[in-house]
Amino acid sequence: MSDPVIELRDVTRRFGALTVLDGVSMSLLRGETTVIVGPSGTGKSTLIKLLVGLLKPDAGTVLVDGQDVGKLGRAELMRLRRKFGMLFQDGALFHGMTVAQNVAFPLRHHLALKREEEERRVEVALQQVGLPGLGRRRPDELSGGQRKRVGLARALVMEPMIVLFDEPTSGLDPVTSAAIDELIVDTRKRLGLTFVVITHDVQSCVHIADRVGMLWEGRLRAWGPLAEVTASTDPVVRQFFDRRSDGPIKVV
Amino acid sequence: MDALASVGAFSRFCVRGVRVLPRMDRRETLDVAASMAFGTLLVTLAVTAFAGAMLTVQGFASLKAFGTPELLGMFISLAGVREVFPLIAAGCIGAKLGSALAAEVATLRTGQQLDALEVMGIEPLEHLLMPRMTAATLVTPLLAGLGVLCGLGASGVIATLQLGVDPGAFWARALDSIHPRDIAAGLTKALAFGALTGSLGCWHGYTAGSGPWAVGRAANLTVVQLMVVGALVNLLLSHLFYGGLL
Ligand SMILES: Nc1ncnc2c1ncn2[C@@H]1O[C@H](COP(=O)(O)OP(=O)(O)OP(=O)(O)O)[C@@H](O)[C@H]1O
Ligand SMILES: [Mg+2]
Repeated sequence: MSDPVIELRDVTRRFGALTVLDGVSMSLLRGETTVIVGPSGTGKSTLIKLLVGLLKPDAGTVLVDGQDVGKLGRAELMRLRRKFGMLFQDGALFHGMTVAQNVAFPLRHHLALKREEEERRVEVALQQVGLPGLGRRRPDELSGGQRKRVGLARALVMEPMIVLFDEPTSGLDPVTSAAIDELIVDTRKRLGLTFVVITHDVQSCVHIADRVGMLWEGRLRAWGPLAEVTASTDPVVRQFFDRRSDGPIKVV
Repeated sequence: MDALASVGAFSRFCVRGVRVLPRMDRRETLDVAASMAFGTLLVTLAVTAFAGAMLTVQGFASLKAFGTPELLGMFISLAGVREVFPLIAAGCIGAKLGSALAAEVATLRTGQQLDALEVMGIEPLEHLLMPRMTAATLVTPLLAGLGVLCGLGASGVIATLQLGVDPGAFWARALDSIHPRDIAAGLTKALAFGALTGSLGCWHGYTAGSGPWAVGRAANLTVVQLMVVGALVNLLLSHLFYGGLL
């Protein structure tokens, strides 16, 4: 249970003159929750997009389950992406559809299931995120936290190998954030999947992480098991985890 | 330089779109086409009807000054059916259908639904964009055709019922002046404009930034570029069909 599912080797990505990631290497292990933290604008979302091939690296390689994501053709990439489920910041649900239709959406496209089987899997996914019986609602009738849960249900319904979370707790109140953290820990334990979570919520990170990477100025400033990183004496890491405004990280 | 680069990117986008045509979601295309047609029909008919009435009143006044009011039917066919009604219809289609399309797709971009589709392994080009581009291309000739008929009809009503032109003479002159070439030109122009509306709307939606202004900007860019490029394409096609080139 501890071979790497995702490997980054010297990954560099620029936007114009701006080098967002500058030679980042890391191995994410199967069945672990890896949390990537870092101040705003350090390339966390860029990193996650590189994993699923929404962006290509300018240099270096991204390996997912042994495949070089940057070198795949479009069709192969589309196939590789079925190994992923991803929860987007605001859920990225389709507003013209009900909750159940949203969750069923990837199933409809990829598997020709019988109606009852499809309904069953949708209901199971909604149960897993604590929203049983809400299938008939529309996304605009839900709270922000509920929308994220539906987004997670949609990410889980295809039974992915890896689940990516882009800021699962941003914009939520502390209680709902804690509930989402709970849900992440719980789901990971129950399903044994590999989770990659991006956040700048320190509390959330401490709660859910097995392994932590901190990005700063395009590099991986800290990398290791949670306890190791939180005990680090590096002033950059300390400033972030102690939530101080004075220190090497400049607030712009 | 930047403009050139974006024209290149837009062309590549269109080529990619044409390539996935065989795999396009047909059902979505029909659904979208129906809602585009119904959503745009009323504006198009209303504006072309008023344009027809306006052109008739103007034409009648001028022709009467020359002592040839019986030529009104011919005038309406040459000015209205060939240029004014299609142009007005195109304006309505661009403003209504084009902006709505750009706004719809841009909303999916800013809300990350386009990224979500990609991550789910569902190609947005096949299931979202090409259906919309195709639907716009197919629906535009239909809407423009109905707009032209509506403008002509409104013109006939005003000419015969209000201005007292003899109905037999009006319709004979009007229909006499419409040639197969006009219909071919109209259809070609409408198909071209529809394809342009669909592709520009999808492109600006697809490439919309993030942030609160992105959706409005996508809609705005679409309508502005549609007017300029549309007018240019119209001119070229007019040259082709009427300028002795064909
Ligand atoms: N498509 C793009 N084109 C140009 N620049 C981009 C693009 N995407 C991101 N950037 C830039 O790259 C940098 C990193 O962006 P990214 O979204 O990865 O940051 P982030 O760590 O996720 O920040 P946040 O915590 O605010 O979400 C930013 O400076 C951003 O402006
Ligand atoms: Mg981000």
